[in-house]
Amino acid sequence: MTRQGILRVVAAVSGALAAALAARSLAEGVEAIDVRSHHLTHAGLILGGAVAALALAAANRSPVPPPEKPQWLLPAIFAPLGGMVLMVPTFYPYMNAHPVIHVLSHFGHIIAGFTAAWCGERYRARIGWTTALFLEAMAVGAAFGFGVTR
Amino acid sequence: MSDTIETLVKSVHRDLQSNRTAKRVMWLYIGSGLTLVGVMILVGLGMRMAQGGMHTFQPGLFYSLMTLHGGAMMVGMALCGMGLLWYLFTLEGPLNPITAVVACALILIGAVLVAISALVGGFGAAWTFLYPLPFVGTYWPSWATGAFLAGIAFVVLGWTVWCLQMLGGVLTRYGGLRGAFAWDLVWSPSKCASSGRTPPPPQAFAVLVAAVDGLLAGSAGMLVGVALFVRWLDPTLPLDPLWVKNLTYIFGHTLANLTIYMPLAAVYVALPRYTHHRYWHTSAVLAVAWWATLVFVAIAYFHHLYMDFAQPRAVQYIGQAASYLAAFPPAVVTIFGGALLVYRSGFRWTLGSMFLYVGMIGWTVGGIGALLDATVAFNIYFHNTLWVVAHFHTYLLEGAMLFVLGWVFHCLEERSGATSSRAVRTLIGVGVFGGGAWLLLGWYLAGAQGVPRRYALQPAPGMEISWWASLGGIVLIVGLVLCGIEAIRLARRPARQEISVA
Ligand code: HEM
Repeated sequence: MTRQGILRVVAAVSGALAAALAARSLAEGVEAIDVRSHHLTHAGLILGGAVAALALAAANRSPVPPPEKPQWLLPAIFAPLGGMVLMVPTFYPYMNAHPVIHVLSHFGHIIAGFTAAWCGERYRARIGWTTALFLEAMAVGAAFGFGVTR
Repeated sequence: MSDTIETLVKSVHRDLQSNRTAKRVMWLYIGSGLTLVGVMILVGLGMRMAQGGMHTFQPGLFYSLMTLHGGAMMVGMALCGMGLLWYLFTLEGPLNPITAVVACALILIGAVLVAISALVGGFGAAWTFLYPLPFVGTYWPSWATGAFLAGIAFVVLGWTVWCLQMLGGVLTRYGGLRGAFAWDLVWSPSKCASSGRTPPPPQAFAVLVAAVDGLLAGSAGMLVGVALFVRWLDPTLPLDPLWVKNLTYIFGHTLANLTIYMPLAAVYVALPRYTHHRYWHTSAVLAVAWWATLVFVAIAYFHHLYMDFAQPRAVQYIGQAASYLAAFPPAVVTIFGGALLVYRSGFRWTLGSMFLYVGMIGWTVGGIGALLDATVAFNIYFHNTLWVVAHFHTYLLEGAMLFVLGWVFHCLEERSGATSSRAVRTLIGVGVFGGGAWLLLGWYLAGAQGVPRRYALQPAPGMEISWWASLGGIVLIVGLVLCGIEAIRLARRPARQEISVA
């Protein structure tokens, strides 16, 4: 298989895994999980979306780095912000009680991860990695204090 | 003469229009930054005089002004450094001006929101907005807290846009992280030399460190900003105070540190131009020094948490070690390197070169003050005293600000081909350095005697010291006003040549 082919498979697999994780709360029903585990699950979803975007971007990368495209930068930065808004712990009890909305919000996380990485790469080569890392670091960091006390 | 030739050689590679646009962007940043700094210096003097009993502020107003002064100074100095680095990088590779203007606009919107929250709403939890101060025991309306947090969010957004643009620029220009870090120059110098590739110039390392550490600070700032904003909307939300404190200081301390490292690029670029044929080259030592700076700037913030006994003990050691180690790279490469560059070089003393050189002295003195404070045995006595205020004012006011002024005068001198007379230089020197030292001495002495920081009414001997130190502040401001007049005089002279790098 070519390098491009492998990258597309990686994108598809990570997208599919993230989607399966996202839909899991439908199967689990209304069983609540604690805020820290909830944040970490969201970090996993974001990672799935971001890896899919980075793999796709790498598969389509042109050999000559294109010039800076500023129109892609703001979505690349607002996606992490959107991802964090979806992680507001105040919403969690409601989400736990409404599995369908919960699953939709999970897809929101995947989209946030994907958008941050994809738009970052469109803005300038390698910046998608940075914005994805930026969002992932915030999502994991949230598990240690955002709605969580010792 | 050599300057002119160098200027022209560089300029032929750039088209005139994009160079003009790049300069406009730089002046937008530096102009708005220095305006903020200028206004806030007056606010600072007002506070210092109030502490000296020369006049009184209404209860609460002191703390609102202190919050505004701290926040706006940080933003102002950061803007100056950002504009300077942005412009210098456009001499290496293209950067889109629209992105830079958007970043600047976001930051200025943030500054306006912070000003509204402090001046109209009376928000006074200090620029470090340490949780739970913005919410507990407040004497200002709740909306002022919201406006302040929104202001910080805009600043973080603008800062992040700038960091991403700079990082993208460096990575593209030097072929990824390996090239930008000059990895091959350090580990396989012969291969690097035979490949014909030139390593990044010294100022590109300042860009890289500002962008990478800046993004780390930005992610912490965005996370803690969202958390506090949600806490403002939903007061029942639990937040771990130690987690908030760590994030707040990763953001605040790193940003404050970077405001010094960013204008350092001016020293690398401009200082050699006052010597005869001496240049600052990228060497393996310089590259490694900047790698170390990248790491130490990111972890030195732990020294803010010495008093937090709940923090794991290991990070307290890391805090002290990183604070010490952070001093080596700048001391060895920049300060010592700068002194050697000047020594017996037939150095031309002008206002520009004088500010750049004295800025290095201010940076060193403030750095030593900071090192003492970062030593646990001293910190027990100096923690939250005016010693802290003394050391950070030394390297911000008599370090970073002088680097920026040095760059501004360097540009004006290059453009007009004129310099200031010895008499003017002496007057400005006495005002800015003499007045500055006088003002700073008051903070050092009071700090050494245990006078606490952030007190509108200070315990003895705070008030007496504040009184005479305020006079130093007035002398400093007179020096800065003279400086402004001299800058206008130079700016109004006809340009020496249409194309110039600076
Ligand atoms: C004439 C020049 C200046 C004067 C008279 C002045 C005065 C003051 C005073 C009185 C305080 C409160 C100190 C306390 O008691 O805790 C203060 C705090 C502060 N100043 Fe300045 N300042 C000046 C310049 C600057 C500059 C150039 C910067 C930065 C670039 C700066 C940044 C700060 C910061 C960050 C704080 C801390 C605010 C806080 O504790 O929340 N100042 N200044």
